Amino acid sequence: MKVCKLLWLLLACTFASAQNADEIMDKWSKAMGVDAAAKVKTIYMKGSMTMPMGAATNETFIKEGGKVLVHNKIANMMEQTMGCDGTDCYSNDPMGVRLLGGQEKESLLMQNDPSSQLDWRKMYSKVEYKGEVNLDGRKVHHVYMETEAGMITDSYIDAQTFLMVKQRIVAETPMGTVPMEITYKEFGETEGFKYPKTMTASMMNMQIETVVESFEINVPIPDSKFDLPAGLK
Amino acid sequence: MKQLAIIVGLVCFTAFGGENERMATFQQVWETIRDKHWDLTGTGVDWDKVYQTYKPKVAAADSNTELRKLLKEMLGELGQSHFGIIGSESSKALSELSTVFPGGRGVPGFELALVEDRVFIVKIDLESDAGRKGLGIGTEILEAEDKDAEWMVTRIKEAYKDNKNREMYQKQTLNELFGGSVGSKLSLKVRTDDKERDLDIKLGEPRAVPKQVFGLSMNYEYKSRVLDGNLGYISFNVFLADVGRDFQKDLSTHLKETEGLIIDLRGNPGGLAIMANNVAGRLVSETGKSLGSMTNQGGTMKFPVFPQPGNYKKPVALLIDGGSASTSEILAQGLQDLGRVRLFGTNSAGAALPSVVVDLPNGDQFQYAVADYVSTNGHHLEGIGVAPDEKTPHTLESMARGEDAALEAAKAWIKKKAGAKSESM
Repeated sequence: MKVCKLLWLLLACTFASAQNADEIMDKWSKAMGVDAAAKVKTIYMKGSMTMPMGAATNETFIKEGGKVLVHNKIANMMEQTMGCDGTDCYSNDPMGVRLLGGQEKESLLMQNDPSSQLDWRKMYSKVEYKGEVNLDGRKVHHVYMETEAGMITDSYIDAQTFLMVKQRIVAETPMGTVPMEITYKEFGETEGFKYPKTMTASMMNMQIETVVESFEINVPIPDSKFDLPAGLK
Repeated sequence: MKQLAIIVGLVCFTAFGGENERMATFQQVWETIRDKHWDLTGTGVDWDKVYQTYKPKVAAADSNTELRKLLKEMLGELGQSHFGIIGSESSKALSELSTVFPGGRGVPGFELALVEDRVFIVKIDLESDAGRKGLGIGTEILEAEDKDAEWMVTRIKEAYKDNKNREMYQKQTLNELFGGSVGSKLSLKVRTDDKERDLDIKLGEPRAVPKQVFGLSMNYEYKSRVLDGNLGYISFNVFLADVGRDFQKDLSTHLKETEGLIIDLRGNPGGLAIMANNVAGRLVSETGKSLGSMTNQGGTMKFPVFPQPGNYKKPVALLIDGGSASTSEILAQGLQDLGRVRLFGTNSAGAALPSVVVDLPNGDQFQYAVADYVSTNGHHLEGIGVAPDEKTPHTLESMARGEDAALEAAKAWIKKKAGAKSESM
């Protein structure tokens, strides 16, 4: 009888926790403009990045159907292009050109396509509410999330605005298990759709601040923009 | 000479070594390790206890020499070779050198090395004024600007005697001495084939391409050619993104059908670490390999190798020396561990890590690493360097023959490999 009671309690707790997490994630999704996102067919973002070794420019093209193209350029030094053609994803950087898989592929889509995350039920296979915590003087909801490929994200969502404050991501990559922290400082809004305008990513004791300088939706982008590089086709 | 000026600028404080300064110096070194070491707990050393042990000893020290000895002893407690105290006396020697050799962007068209404390030409640009006037590998520099070689060598050795990477800095400084204004004359006394002669050489435009990296101006020089016996040869002076582009172009054109490849990393001080992965990806065919990993306070990151389409499959020899540092060492050790290359030359610099040099209150400097590199076979390189498979230093004998010992050994190895392969076919 004691075991049954314990099992019931456990199930009840899990249920309550799942309910809470769903609720918070739905509120976050709503706060970000999930309804407006439904009308977004393409996104074009242009921004700048500041890092210890200098400044970089960034251009991101996104099209419905999982098509992404990200181009980062550190002037006179190096360039990186990452993209997905709707099926396969790749990276072309100073380490060479290669197809991405697993968590690296997930990470590319999630971190660069602000609309994709809003459909969080598709994105995450496990979501748990960890409770309300104080983060840098703000009350935030701590939500633990796991993707199909096993990428772990601890998200901290503002208890009042339901906007993302911070994410701690642990991803398995060919570089190893790389913990990364992203702090969201400012959000922009276009036609009811919110996007992170200023964010700082910390990784390996290095900080990169990205500022989105222009954000346009539903601009025409040809499918060919997302073609895989010649060596990977 | 620009580097000399920076170093002189950094160490131009006069050491007058008061007791308070010595204690402040000790405090700064101890705190730096406490705050900046990538894994102090992992060393197993009780750093607070070290403080308590050394503080009274430092308080009793009555000179900077004694303090330096204590600091080195204290850093030795870590059992790691990543840290160094650089005495302020080094600035005097460098100042004397820069007074006679003010430097400039003009180049003499040759590269020098110390061989048994004598100065020899070890590489020559035959199209330079020096090359046209008959200087070549094995030519000994006896005097420059009326200063004899011993005067230069003594000061260069004095300047870096406390430096963990002394061989690298000695070679860099030696070569920087012979720069000057483009078009200006450099007066030399040389010995070639036992014959001494005086001559002036005209300093030329550097062949390197000016680049801006991390806000620093640097010159990129990449060379490739096919040597006798159909052997490919590539050398470059710094790892920039351009290396990837140039490698790809050469390996798909005139070096594609060569019998083997020699990559000369001697004197290459490093650059963008990620370019080690790039070069490795053009030489390694197996997937899932890495060149090792780097750990700092933020975590550990591997150097993965992504095999690139059309990569080079023939034997590869790497040439290294005390001037090969950082990214050069990561590439050399990483590929040696993978069994993909054979290394020729001498031990590399042992300066694979990002390190910081700070001024200390007593006028000395403290050089400390902020990360640790470990190769896939567990080699820590800092302060140790990469050991060549075949130690082939420049010697007085090889200089007398006018030969580059490491290059000749690498050529012989590749020819042997190619011969063995053709016999077995």
